[in-house]
Amino acid sequence: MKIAFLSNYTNELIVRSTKKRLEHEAIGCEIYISGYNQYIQDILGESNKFYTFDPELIFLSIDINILCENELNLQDRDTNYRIKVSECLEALFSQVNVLNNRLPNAAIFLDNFSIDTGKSFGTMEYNSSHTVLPALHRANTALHEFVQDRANIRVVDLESLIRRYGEDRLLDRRMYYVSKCKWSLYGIEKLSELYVSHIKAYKGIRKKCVVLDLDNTLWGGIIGQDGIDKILLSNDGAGKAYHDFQRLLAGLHSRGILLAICSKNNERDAMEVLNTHPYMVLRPDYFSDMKINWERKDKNLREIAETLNIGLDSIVFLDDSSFERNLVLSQLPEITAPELPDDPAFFSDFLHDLDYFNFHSLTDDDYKRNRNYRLQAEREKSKKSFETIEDYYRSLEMTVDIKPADDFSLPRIVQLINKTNQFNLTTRRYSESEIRGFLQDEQYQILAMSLTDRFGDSGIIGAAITVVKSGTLFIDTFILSCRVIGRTIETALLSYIYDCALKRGIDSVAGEFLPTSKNEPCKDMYRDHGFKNTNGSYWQLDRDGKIECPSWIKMGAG
Amino acid sequence: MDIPNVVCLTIAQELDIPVEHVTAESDSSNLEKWDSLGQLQIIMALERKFNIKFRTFEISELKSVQTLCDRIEQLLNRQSRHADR
Repeated sequence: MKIAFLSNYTNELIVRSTKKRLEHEAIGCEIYISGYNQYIQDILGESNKFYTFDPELIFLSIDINILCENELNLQDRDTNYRIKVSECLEALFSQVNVLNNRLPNAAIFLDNFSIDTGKSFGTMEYNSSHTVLPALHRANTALHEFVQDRANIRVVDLESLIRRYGEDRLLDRRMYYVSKCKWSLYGIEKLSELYVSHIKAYKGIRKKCVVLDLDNTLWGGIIGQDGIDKILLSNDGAGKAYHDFQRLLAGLHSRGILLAICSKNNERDAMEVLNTHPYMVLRPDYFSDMKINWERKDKNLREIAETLNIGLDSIVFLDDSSFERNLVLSQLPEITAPELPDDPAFFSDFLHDLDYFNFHSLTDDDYKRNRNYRLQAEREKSKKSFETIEDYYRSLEMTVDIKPADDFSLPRIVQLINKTNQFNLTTRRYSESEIRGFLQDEQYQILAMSLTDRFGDSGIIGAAITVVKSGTLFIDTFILSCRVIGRTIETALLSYIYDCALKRGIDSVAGEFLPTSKNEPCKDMYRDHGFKNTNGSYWQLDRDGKIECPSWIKMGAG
Repeated sequence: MDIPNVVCLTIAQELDIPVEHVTAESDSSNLEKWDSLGQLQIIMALERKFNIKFRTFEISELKSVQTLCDRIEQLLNRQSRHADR
């Protein structure tokens, strides 16, 4: 991916450190750095170098202390900071608008603002009409408002980084005077770490599921020995640390991160706490799967991954016992099992600092996901009570809606393309800007399929990219979310694509199956729908074929 | 601590060059990658390794293995004299 770094200070060392981290994460990148304080020239396009580079991501790092250096002048008692700072910001925002208009598909990251301590008025700060910190708060509020309706512009919360680790550690005055870069070595590391978190979030790299131990992880003490009235879990005192940790986990759950339990307990003891303890936040319905038994944890974790249909590499396992963590890691090295802090008071900060659950933007589907996994469990249950599989399909009352991609569906389509492993015929990953590129090409069509059934609205659960080449319609990408595999929905999408192609006067439809270690579930899709294997991975169906949408699936208005 | 050894190793790491290329005679004029940015990386890495702080004016002047070693030794001696008191 192409990343540009523009700045009003010398940011080369931060860029170098960011690049090193990306290499470590196996994210390939090509980098552009603007010359020292050349960002305005680059944005206004005075040389073509920057726009020719055509970045997908742009980090615009503006230090407000430099941007407003003359305005933030301590000596000048009459300075009206408010007006002068907001003038500087207006100029900056108009430059960002130019950038956004000229590169409408690029994601732009703006650091928020932090004022260096040396500029503050000490005991007079906040006690006089023209001190600097109130101006800073206004600047950050203005930045927040500026990015609100601009989906492509994101804020990097540098201010919280400085608040968290402190200026004394993150900044180095000497470096500012020597090199026009105020960050210390530690600061450079922390800032580049934050940039990489944003890049990973942009690429949708995150874990899907937290698997939790119970004793001394979700509450203090051992339920089998201490009993429900003695474990540490409450709304004050040390027990509140566990309560707060649970609330943070509930927050992850609301954003679509799955939760599961893997714990060695008597199931009845544990379920009593889960169901009845007054300060338990995570009730049983928060958990997509629960393994409360005396089996080995590696075996349980493997089963959880299978039940939830997720890879072991997308699981974070939290357990206070180093024995259990080491056992799991020795058997299942793909799993992430970080060491919890010794003291539960630090659990919440620890979870907050894990770089595993970051989002670039949240879609409605993220919020719905957990409910959908629970509904899936209900569907699985009801499956057992039907005579034939067709009866079961019919009982689901499925309606699918297939539409060309638009601004609403695009983020979810990008997410599906980059995350789906199982029902993914070609496993081609495309960035949002690549897909926006396809949208501008008449030969391409991008389809989004959503599903509603008796249990609720599943949102967008399928996508396809097709391209017409020399009279044949090629299916470049064909994807179903793993939540809806085994419900014949792929037939609905394939039949839609085929019928539309025939209507457009195209005589044949071709697709590819490119095998991976994970996409076995869709290996026979083309064969099952009457396609002929033409050449290696290629399958083709000409005008004489027929693909019927199953009678138990209703096609929506489209 | 063997100061020259650590200094050479650090320079090699920071400039991303083989350690054999850095000798007691190396300086910013005879190592191509030792530019002004490399200088900052070397200084910051050495400060962290030896737990010392150079003066601002020195940062862009200590541009050879020899001057770096001499100054580090001086700073470390001063520290240990403080510790002895």
